[in-house]
Amino acid sequence: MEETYERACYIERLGLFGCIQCGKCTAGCPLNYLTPFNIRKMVYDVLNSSGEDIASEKHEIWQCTTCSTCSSRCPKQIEPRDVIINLRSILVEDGNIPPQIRDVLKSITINYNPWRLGKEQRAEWCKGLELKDASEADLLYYVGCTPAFDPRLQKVAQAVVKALRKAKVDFGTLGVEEVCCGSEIRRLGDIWSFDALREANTEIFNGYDNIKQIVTTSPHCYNTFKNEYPGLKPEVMHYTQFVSSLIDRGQLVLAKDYRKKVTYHDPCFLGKQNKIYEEPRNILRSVPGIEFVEFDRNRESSLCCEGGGGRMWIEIEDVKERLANIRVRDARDMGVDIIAVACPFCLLTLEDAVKSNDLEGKVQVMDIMEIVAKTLT
Amino acid sequence: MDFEPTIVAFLCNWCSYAGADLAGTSRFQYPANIRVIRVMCSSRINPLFILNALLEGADGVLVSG
Amino acid sequence: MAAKKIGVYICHCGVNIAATVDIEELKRFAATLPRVKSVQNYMYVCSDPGQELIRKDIKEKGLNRIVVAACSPRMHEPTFRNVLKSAGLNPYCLEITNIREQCSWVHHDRHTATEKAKGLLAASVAKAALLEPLEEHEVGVTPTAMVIGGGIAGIQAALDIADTGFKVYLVEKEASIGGHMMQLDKTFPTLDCSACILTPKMADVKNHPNIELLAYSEVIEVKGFVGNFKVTVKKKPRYVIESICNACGQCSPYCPIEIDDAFNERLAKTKALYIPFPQAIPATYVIDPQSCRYLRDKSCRQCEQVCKELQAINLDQKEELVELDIGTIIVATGFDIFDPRQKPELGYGKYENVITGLEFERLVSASGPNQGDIKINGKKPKDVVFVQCVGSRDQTVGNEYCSRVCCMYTAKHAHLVREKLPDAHITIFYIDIRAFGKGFEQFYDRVRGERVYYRRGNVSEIYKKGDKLMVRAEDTLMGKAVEVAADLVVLAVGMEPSKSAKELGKILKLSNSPDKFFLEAHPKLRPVDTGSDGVFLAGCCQGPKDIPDTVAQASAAAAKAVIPLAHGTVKTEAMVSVVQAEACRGCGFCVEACPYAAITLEEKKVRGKKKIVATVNEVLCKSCGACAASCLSGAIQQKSFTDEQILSMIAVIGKKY
Ligand SMILES: Cc1cc2nc3c(=O)[nH]c(=O)nc-3n(C[C@H](O)[C@H](O)[C@H](O)COP(=O)(O)OP(=O)(O)OC[C@H]3O[C@@H](n4cnc5c(N)ncnc54)[C@H](O)[C@@H]3O)c2cc1C
Repeated sequence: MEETYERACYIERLGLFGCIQCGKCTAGCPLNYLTPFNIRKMVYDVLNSSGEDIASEKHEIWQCTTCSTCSSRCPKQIEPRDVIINLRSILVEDGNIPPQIRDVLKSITINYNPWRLGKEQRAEWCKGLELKDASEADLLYYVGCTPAFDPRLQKVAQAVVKALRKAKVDFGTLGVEEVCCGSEIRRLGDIWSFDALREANTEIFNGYDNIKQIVTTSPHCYNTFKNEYPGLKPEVMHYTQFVSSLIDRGQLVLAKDYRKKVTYHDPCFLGKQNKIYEEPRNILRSVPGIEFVEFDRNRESSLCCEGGGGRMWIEIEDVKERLANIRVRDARDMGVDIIAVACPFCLLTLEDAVKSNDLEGKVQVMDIMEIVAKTLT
Repeated sequence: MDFEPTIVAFLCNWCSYAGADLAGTSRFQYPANIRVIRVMCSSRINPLFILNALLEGADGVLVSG
Repeated sequence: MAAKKIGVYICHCGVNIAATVDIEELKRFAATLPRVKSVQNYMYVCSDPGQELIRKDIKEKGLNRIVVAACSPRMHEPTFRNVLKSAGLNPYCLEITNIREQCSWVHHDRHTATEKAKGLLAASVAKAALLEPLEEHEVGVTPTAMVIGGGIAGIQAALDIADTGFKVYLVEKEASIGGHMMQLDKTFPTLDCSACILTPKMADVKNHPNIELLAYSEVIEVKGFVGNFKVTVKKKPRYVIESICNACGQCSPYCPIEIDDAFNERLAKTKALYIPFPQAIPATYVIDPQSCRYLRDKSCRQCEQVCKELQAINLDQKEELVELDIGTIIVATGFDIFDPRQKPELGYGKYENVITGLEFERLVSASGPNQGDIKINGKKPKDVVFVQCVGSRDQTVGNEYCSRVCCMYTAKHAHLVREKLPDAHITIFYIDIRAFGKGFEQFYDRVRGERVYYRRGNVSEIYKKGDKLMVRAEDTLMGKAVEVAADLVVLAVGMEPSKSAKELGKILKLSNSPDKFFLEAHPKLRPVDTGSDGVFLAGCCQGPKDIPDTVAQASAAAAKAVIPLAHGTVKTEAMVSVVQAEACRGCGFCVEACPYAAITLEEKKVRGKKKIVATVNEVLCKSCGACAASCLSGAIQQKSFTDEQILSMIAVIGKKY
């Protein structure tokens, strides 16, 4: 009896009775291009049978990238994405999860990062840079787990530092004290650990009276701070917003020519979920000599790279194709030199696709900040 | 907390009172401790009315128009 | 003054009230209230037997004040006033207690709802004891109507009123009347040609002796009240003199400036000196001030040269303000189509072969830019896909409603494609098909039989693949996503209220329903009335509808608008303000507080002494009571809302009984 009531509550909380089964979610779902994953049907099943049964029956639950195309387009404004997160948390609570995910969740609680690397290594990326401590600056650069630990992404974090220094921004970092934002772990269904991280981070951020703004490398950290951290005092920005305004104010001058044909891949967590479409383009257009072209599918219609929602750590089987492959082949057909990205996960997935499509040397994936850094004198 | 305030509301016939009617037609539920007095316009509300309502035991007064 | 004898009538309203409010308890309570001489309850007090109950009591028990505890006074106050009147009592000796909308419908708990009902009833009884009989005055009515908006709704309403013999002004903001119907090709479900049934009516407007058309004009101010409106209309300069121009059209080819052809939904070009379409009424050319060279930098007067003989062109024409006395007003401002750029995933504005339903009407029309050939980039499309519900039933763009015409016009479009392109592959993506009108289901059956693939699913993506568009939706009946290739995609855009109606709504003090269309006075019983007396609604300005419904509503609005004109008089507000001259200090605070300029300071003889006192013009007074609130000495009072009456309610309404 109690269980049924709880189920009814969560169905009502997610507004599932409002669903008219129009299928807009399924047809927009990037996963549905590759697998039979059908989010509309999932909503229908949750509505009409027990959530517990579905959670354990459907292994596709782990395929969702939480890109939120479904939620952003639903004409009845229900949140199909949250249905998935809910089902995942049922599985997490029961301990019924794939081993790779268990490792990630464990790593976050022990190391405060999902990459299973010791927390004391968190500041390796900035060795020798002599960055200020957060307590001494106006602005906190929140690096994020992937840019702090992944050798490829460390270069992006270093590029951010170069630009901020060039623009004479008074910024600091948390060094080894930085803690994972929890975005991915929440999307993997471990809402309990997320709550703990949120409390920890809120306490850290609000503890510094000097910090007025936080700038993140990753749209995922940005999104969660912005939308899932009620009561956070400093203003949160993604670096594309901050750097775009630095350029507009003339505080950052992109001086050197960069004669390349560049396109931009919208990250879901920046674009679809937070409607930040113009700032990244503004930065790229400000680069002297650049030829900027758009993907046919851009902004609201952009394709997902499949890196979100914990998918960095989940392999899905029996899939012939990858969305990132489609993306890099489109870029090749457009004759671009560079796919610019603004998200660590997009960088990794697209770069992988460049390799597996034998496009190395033809199409290059770079973070916007790496391009910016190249134009600084 | 057992405190149940009594609220006296003065509503304009053309907007807020009509809005309260619409809430009824839509079957929105709200607490029963609000008592509405209809006026033809919220500009009719004399400060005296508000003070009187409080003196007569109301815990709050709502003027809407 | 006779002693006050109050009767209380409690309505069950079926179970609407009785299920939540304990009627017996309320009845017992009512009997304990001062001066209450009779308490009755009845299943439906508003019904004839219910009314008779009150009448009988008034006569037999000599009651002189009546309290009805029932639905909102906004619902049945007029009904019960008439009951009092027919029983020989002054209709203003009535007080209504709202125990339905503001009690039984909004509370579940029987005990607290009953307690609240007691408080409300006690307040009504207290006020009723202090009510005074009021007098209604009558004033004359200007026997002229105004219709604002010249689409099919406005045209029909104007013609109907004119046929009754009253004069009508028809105000249209565009250069010609006709509205959207003029842009349509055929009309569902009967497929009659839109222009063939509309243009004769437009000609009737022009020729009717009782209709004065003010095209290219807008209402900018409305003062007064029902029967006696003063309306200011701005006539925008056409730069072509309407009374001289004979629409010969010789000027236009000489105009050097090309502009987008709005009538053809910008699928074609026209000149800056243009006529919207050949059958335009008034049949007069017009110059687009934004693009005319002379009007921008005085550099060209070519057209004047061409029209030397008639001299119909006047590039120095100025806008004109006309003030008109009007009895009643019909608003018929219609709709705008939804702008599908708000749904970027559908690619409108990005791919030129994604078009709106209205663009399709022009494309397929014999009077359109392609003479009715369905061609995109000079090529006949092989695969045509229609997308339903674009901007309707969609909370992400704030339009929760169904636009009611798109299912049927899409069926019509599919039929027209089949007629002109027998080999085309036609797919319609839909969520639900709404074929509710007369002949609609039959039409839908017919169109399906014409090899049209109806697939249930809401399109989520349109993107380019080679030289085709891919339309991606889940076919929800198959349970999987499908991609249908298309050369032409037609978006069934929904309706939104006309943007230019927004300002007009403010001028006329009209309310809007949550869907942003104009709100009718009652959704069932007063569907063409508004909250503003003497102002009525017709057509799509009230909500999306097809032509049959629009025309029916227009005729209904015309009948309603004629009632006061035919009657010749209207009653003025009875609950006006009144000044007690002895107490008035002549300070003039009330004069300042009055938003209607209904109060003036005048010298009067009071008890033999000359004195400045505030004086109320009862015709202008709108009974808001602002004056009463501003008066320091209590000399000015609003009838039926006096300080004493309101204070008597305050004293009892919040008590626990
Ligand atoms: C693509 C499409 C196809 C359709 N096909 C059919 C069909 O086949 N059959 C059918 O029955 N229905 C059809 N309809 C519906 C039909 O168009 C409407 O029912 C009808 O046009 C409504 O008429 P109206 O006069 O209310 O509004 P409108 O046609 O919009 O006319 C309103 C008029 O008011 C004017 N106006 C607006 N604001 C002001 C102002 N402030 N002051 C002065 N004037 C103003 C406008 O300029 C306009 O002339 C279709 C609709 C669309 C969009």
